Order: sequence, then structure tokens, then C-alpha cells
Amino acid sequence: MIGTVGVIRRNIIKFYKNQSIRKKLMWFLLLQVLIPLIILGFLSYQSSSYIINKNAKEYSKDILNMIRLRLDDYIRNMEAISDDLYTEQNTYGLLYSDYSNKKPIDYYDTQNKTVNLIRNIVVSREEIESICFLSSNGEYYESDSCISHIIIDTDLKSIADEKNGKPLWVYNKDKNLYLIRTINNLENYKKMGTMIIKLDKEYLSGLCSAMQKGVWNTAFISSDRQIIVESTVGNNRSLNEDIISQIDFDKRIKNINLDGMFIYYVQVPKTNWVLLSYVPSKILYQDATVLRNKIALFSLIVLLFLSVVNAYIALDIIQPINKLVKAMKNMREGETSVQIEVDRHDELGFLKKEFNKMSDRINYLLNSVYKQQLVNKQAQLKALQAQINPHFLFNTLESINWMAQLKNAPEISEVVSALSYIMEAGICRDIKPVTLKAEIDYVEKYILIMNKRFEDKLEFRKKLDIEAMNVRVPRLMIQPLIENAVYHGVENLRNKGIVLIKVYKKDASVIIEVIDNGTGINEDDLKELNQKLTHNKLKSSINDSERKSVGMENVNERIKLLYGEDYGIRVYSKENYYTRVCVEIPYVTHEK
Amino acid sequence: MRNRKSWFLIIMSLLFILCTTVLLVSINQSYTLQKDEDYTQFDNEQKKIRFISSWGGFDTKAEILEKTLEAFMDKYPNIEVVNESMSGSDFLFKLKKDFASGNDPDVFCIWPGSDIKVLINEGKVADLTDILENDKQWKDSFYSVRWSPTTVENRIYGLPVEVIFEALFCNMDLFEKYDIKRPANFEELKEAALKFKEVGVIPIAYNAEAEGSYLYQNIIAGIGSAEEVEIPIKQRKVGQCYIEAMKYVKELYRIGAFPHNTFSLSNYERDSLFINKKAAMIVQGSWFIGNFDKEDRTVEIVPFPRIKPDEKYPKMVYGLGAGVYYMSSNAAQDEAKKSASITLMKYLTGEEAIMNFVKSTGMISNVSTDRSKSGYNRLAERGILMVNYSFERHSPPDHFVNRSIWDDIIVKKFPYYLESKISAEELWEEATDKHYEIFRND
Repeated sequence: MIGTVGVIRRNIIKFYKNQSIRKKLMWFLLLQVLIPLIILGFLSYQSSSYIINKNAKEYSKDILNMIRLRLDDYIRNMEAISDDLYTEQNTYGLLYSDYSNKKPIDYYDTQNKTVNLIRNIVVSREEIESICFLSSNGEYYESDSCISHIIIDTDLKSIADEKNGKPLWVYNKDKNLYLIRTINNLENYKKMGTMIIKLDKEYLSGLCSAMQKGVWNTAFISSDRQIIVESTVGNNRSLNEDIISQIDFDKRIKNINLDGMFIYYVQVPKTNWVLLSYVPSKILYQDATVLRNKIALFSLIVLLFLSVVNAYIALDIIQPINKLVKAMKNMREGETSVQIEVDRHDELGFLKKEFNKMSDRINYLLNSVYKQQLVNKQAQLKALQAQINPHFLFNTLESINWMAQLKNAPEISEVVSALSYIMEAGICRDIKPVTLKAEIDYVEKYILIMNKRFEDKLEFRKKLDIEAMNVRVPRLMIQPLIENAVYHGVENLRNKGIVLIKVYKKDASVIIEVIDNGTGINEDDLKELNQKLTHNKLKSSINDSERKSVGMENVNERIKLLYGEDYGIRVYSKENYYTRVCVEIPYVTHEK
Repeated sequence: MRNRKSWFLIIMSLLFILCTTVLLVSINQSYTLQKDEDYTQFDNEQKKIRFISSWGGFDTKAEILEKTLEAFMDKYPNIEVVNESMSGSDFLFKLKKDFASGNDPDVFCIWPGSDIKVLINEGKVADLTDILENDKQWKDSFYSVRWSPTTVENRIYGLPVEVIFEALFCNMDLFEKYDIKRPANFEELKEAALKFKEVGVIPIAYNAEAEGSYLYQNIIAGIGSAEEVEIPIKQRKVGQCYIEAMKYVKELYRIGAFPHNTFSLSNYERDSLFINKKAAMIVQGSWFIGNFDKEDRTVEIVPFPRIKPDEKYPKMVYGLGAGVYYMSSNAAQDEAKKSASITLMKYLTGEEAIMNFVKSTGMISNVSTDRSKSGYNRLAERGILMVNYSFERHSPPDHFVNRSIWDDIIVKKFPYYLESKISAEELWEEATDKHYEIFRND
């Protein structure tokens, strides 16, 4: 069992995790809307329909109670009339006395008085149609509205006898309403006769319709489940036998729902009748149904609207993510310099910005490595191309050196040795930086050669900081600068040319200065040169071998490639006075 | 960590489902409860029982009865007692009419006599024997000697609470004022009447109502033997004491012992004549004591004067009064009404209620209570002594004549006799005919 639950749980989690964020977001937002909407809709429908129904039922109950109150009055009045007649002296005497022993005129007199009394009541009370007294020996006394035959022909008299003097309310088979009482002797409680009062059904009907309001119908049902009076509204359905047969006459008050009909009924005291207030359920619930439909429609509209809003929100979140994902895929496939448009300033905008920055950085690094590799390759190619001549020259120079020594020409030997030393450094395949001390050795060999050429016309001075001598620099970094100072600075001087090399440590950097007292550089050229050195354009400068500053630019490029854009060469000069080339490199004493 | 997260989600989901379910169920339940109320709101109605006695209207016990019933309803809020008591002749008419028309009261009070006998014979009164046997303490709270008037064929139907006697009430201040001797026999009564008449005081407060007939009844009891009094009509003939007693009343009427408007006086007016010291004497029942203050020493009660000169001791009219409680058969057939009716009867015959009646009205109780606490009126105490020391006691004669005959013929036609429009014999012949008409089928 626990295993099964675990498997189901894992599958659900797996399914959930396999769904796209867009789907998850859509479902999540939809559920967030749906659950409260369904619960609220259900609760509001439930409570509203309950209140509507409750009010309707309360209303019906009120009507029913009002009718019942009036009915109570009616019943009380009719029973009071029957009470008065019960002990009315003439009537009582008529039923009680044995007139066989008395004068006929006495009987006649009493009979007339009784009939007159009956007539007066029938005429004055609209609720009463007729009254009749029936004596135990079969004689009857009534006004002209004759009803005695009904009693004689039916078993109503025996039913009334069972009530033993209590008023009996009867809805007879002849569809008429009667109040019947057995009259007992007040002295010995033996039966003397029967009183029958025929009641006007229309009065009851009027009583119902006068109180009837709204959609509720009313009806009186007799104890044998006959409709005494029914008052309906419009085309409302009437009661039928099936419905009436299901009414529980033992309940004093009840509401039931039978056969699509909502019925509220109360027992009418003393009569065994039931007073009903009823309405087809469809009509009773029509307000609730309308409300339900409105709530459903409203829920649907809200659902649609919120779905659109949800979709928009989901897309708004998902789209930038998708763009980022796509850009990442592009980068993975090799595209460099991928950029995403930043059109927002929220967290997603931040992501985009950072992505763009990252892309830029990657691009830059890629380019740096690539260019450095290219420069190195080009240098290697050049070196390979030049390898034949230098080797040939080197070998030749070695031969010349040996020959000069054999011929005892030490100056030639010295120059050739120096040249050979420099050439060895030039053709060396090892690109590892060398110490500044080694680089100064190359410079000194070069100066030795240049002194042989220019003799006393050139003076080389050096001012070196011992602490800086261990710093690592690219091979042959200073020699081209000395070469520039000699050829472009002091070569054309008539007086003595001086080249000063100055090395010192400044903060975390090492400064190498090559100063000459040569012709200098005019202001415009100096500016242009410094700009080129600052914004080192490798591509444009690589193939420009004609340029005089090629050695300087080459050195500058290599410094920037090795140490970064913060380092490099800066030239200071004053035409016909001096030129000072400043090289700044980081103080790094170990190999990278 | 991941596992914890999933459990947290599961618990939160379960909590959400639980809360929603509880909310929906509680709402649904509240609706259901309210729906159910519709069915039950009429089911908790009070048990309503109807009570009728002669202690209504201006009767001295009317007020205390009303208070007692209110106290009962306070104690038993689920029982509502509808008090339909009426005073005078109205009471009996209503009681009979209610029984005749099937509108039987649940609990009722009536004096012993022919009326209750008919009701018992017709099966309209509940047999209390088993109820009393099952509650010995209740049964034993009544003095056993007085069960017999409420017993028919060894079955007890009524609870005898009130004992009554009839006697001559004298305004002693008037007797003393005019130096008139308190009468001990009929001759002295006539003498006293004449003297009072001379000084302008009405000698005897008498009227032509049923209560006025106590004078006649006391004379009947004074003349007749127990058998003659208790069987008034025998073989279509009335007992001689009933005829003869009328003549004594006529004698008093003739000498002017009664008020000049005696035939038109109401009971209230008649009683007021004595209470307001305008009349010197009145023949009344013990319930009349309630009209006098506990400390009132101007009124005295004496046995009605001896009628026959040869008799040494006066006879007392004594018996159970209207305070005998019955339950109708109709009430006994309805368990709820039966239970409520028994509760009411137990309360009305309980010490607290009895004491209230005794203290307020001077009622002489047949329920054994602590006499020291009873606070019996001086007149009541005297009456009890009179009864205890009397040599011969008779129940009131109207207990033995059908009440309708008594009220409608004897009482109503008595003025015609006094005015000699009709003879005593004729009057009783009509009564006898009526008696046989009523009971022709028996």
C-alpha cells in the first residue's frame, strides 16, 4: 500500500517536473482562480438560495397562519352559534319535552319559535346556508332552506353521535360543508336530538383568496382527502389525488416536497382538515435558479477574463525566459556576441542585462585568446620563413668569427659574436619572457655593434634599478626601442648622440625609459603616435611594415597582449631636443 | 530536503481540503438545522388543561384560586391551566353544558349530590382509585372518613378537600346594641326578628336565589330524620319535612323577617346586607367566613335554632363543599392530559395550596395539615368545634335533589309560594314530575 502510494507520488512529481514552466504557471494560476471561484460560487449560491427559499417559506407560513387565525375565528363563531342553539330554551324544550301529553297548541307555539329563530340566524349570517334540528323520535325542525333529507339519507347522524355533543365538521359526499352536533340532555347526558348547520363553502373560498398573495396557492383538504376549497394563482398546477394521498394528517404542521410540488400545511384545529399552501417547486425555486445562472455566468466571465490575464502574465514571464534560453542555445552553437534586447527593468530585465554583459565578456575573451593565438602563429610563421636565412647567417657569422680569430682580427670577432648573440635571441623559438637583466644583455650587445659603426658619435648610458632586474619581460622588448632611438633619433645628428636607458620600480609597476637626444618628433606626429599606442589597433598595424614605428608598435602590442590594456608604451618628445619612450609593465618576477 | 518539501506540500493540501470540507459541511449543517426547526416549532407547545369550579366571579375563593393556579403554572411551566370557574348558578349550567356538548373539562370541582352522581353513572368522571392506591402518601393526606361521599361502588372518583357546614351567622354588635337574645329555637328566632324589625334592622338577609335557600335547607334538616332528608322523593311523593319546612320559612316571611326587596336581591346584595351590618342574621355556609377579618369579634356563628320544641340539641348541616376535585374520563384517556391533571390535583390538594385557602378564605380543609400553622379564622375554629360537638349532622338537602330541579323549580318558585300563589304541595309536585321526566329512562 505504502509502496503504491510512493509510486503514485513519484509519478505525479515526475509528471509535474516534466511539464514546461509555461504549463505549470498556467495551471497554477488557473487553479488559483478556479478553486476560490468554485467555492465562493457554491457558497453564495447555497446561502442565497437558502435565504430565498426560507423567505418564501416564511412568507407562506405567515399566510397560512393568517388564514388559520381567520379560520379559527370562523370556527369559533360557528361553534358559538351552535352553542347558543344547543341550550336555546325553545329548541331544548322541543327536543326534551314529551309533547304527547301536552296540548297541541303548546307544541305548535314552541315549534314556530324555533323555526323563526333558525330563519333569523340563516338570514343574518352569510356563513350559514341552513339549520336543522332533528329529534330522537325522527321529527325535524328547519327553515325553508330544507336540508333534513341530507341528514336522514346519510350516516352523518351516527358519525355525529360518536362525537357525543362535540361539534363535528363534515365535508359530505354531496360536496357540501356541515357542522353537526348531537344534543344531549343537560341533566342525564342522554341524546335528545341532532343539530345540523349547512355552511357556505364560498365563504371559505373567499377567505382563502382574500389572504392569497404571491405564487402560493391555498386549499382546504377534508379528513377523507377531498379538496373542500382550492384557490390557485394564474396557471399554477393544481393538487392531484396522488399528492393529497401522501399528506400526513397526523402532523400538526409540516413542509414537504411531493411530486415537484412544495407543500406547507397545518392542521385546522377541531375540524381534522388540513390547510395547505403549495407551489410547484419550479416556481418556488425560480428565483434561486435565476441566481444560480447569474452566478454561473459571472463565474464564466470572470474565468475567461482571468484566464486571459493569466495567459498574458504567463507569457510575459515565459517569453523573456524563452529568449534567454534561445540566446543560450545560439551561444552553445557557436554564435558569438549574442545580445538580447533589454526592454524591462524587473528581475527578468536584470537577467537579460547580465546575460548581455556575460556574452560581451565571453566574446572579448574569445577574441583576445584568438588574436593572441593569431599573432603568435603569424610570428611563428614569420620566424619559420626567416629561419633559413638567420641559420645560414648565424652559421656564416660563426665561420667569420673563427676566421677573424685565426686571422687575429679581434674587433671583427667581437662584433660578429655580438651580432650572433642578438640573432640567436631573434630566432629563438622559446616565447617565454626573459628577465630584464637578460634583455639588458641583448641591448648591450646591440650597442656594442652600434658603437663599432658610429664609433665616438654615439654614447650609450644606463641607469638600472637592481630590484627591477628580475622582472620578466617579452624577449627583445627593449632592443627595438634602442634601435628606434639610434636610427630615428641620433643617426642624423651632427654632434654626439646619447641614448639613455633607465629602469626603475614605481608602485606595482616597472618603468623602462629609453631617452635619446635626437631629432625628436613633431607635435602632431607625437599625438598621432600616442593615440595609436593607446588604442592599439592590431589588425590595422600588423601589416604596416613600412612604418617607422613598427618596432615600437610591435612592442606595445605584445605588452598589451601579455599584461592587458592598462600597460604599454607612452612617448614623450620635443622636436630637435629629445624623445623619451616610457614602457610600463607590471612588476611580475615569476613566469606566467 | 526534497522529501521534506513534498511532505509539506502534501500536509498543506490535506489541510486545505479539510478546512474546505469542514466549512462546507458546517454551512450545510446550519441550513439543515434551520430546516428542521420548521418541523419542530409547534411540537413544544404547552399541555393545556381546562379547570372549572364554582370558585369564580365574586366567590371568596376566586382570588386565591387564581393565585394558586398561577403559582402552579410558574412551578410547571409546561402546563397551562385554563381556569373557567364561574360563581353561582352559572357554574353548574356551564359544567353540565360542557359535559353534554362533549366539551368536558379536564379537572373540575363540584359538591356531592345528584349532579356528580349522574356524571359518574354516565362514565364521564375518571376513577381515581388506582392512582390513589399507587400513591398512598397522597391518599393518606385526606381524612379517611370523608371518602364515602366521593365513592361509588367502592371506587373513588373525587378528592374531598373542602368541608362545609351551614349555620346562623349573627351580627353580635347589633344583638348587643338592641339587647336582643341570640335565638336558640324557632320561637326565639321569630322574637328576635320582630324586635330587629321594630328597630329598623333587617332581621334575616334572605333572597330568592339558591344560596338563599340555606334557610329552607337548615329547617328541613332540623325537622327531618336522616333518611327523610337524604331520600326526598319516594314513590312520586316528596318527604314531609320538605313540605313542612316551607311553612316555617313562610312564617318568617309573614312576620317580615326578610328584606322588603327579598325576591329581587342578588346573592352579593344579600351578603352585603349582613356584612355591612344592615341585617342581623344570615344563614350561610362556612365559606362565608372568608368575608370577615381574623380579629372580627362582632360576628358570631351558632347552629341554626332548633325547630321542634322537644329537641334538646340543634342539628348541623354539614358535609363536603364544592371543593371536591374530579378528573374527567376524557382527560384520563389522553396520557398527556391525565399526567398534567394529576399534577394539578396533587398541587391543589397539597399542603401549600390548602394552607393558602385556609388562611385566606377560612376554608375548612379535609386534608391533614399542621393545624398550628393553619391560621384558622376564629369563626372557622368555632365552626369546627360546633361540628365536632354536634349530636346530629345532615348533609345539605340540595345534595339529594337534582340541582336543576332545586334551582329551576324549588328556588325559582319559592317566592310564588311565599306569596301564596302556589302551595307547597303543588310546587313539589312539579318538582317530582320533572324528576321523573329527567330520569324516565333510568
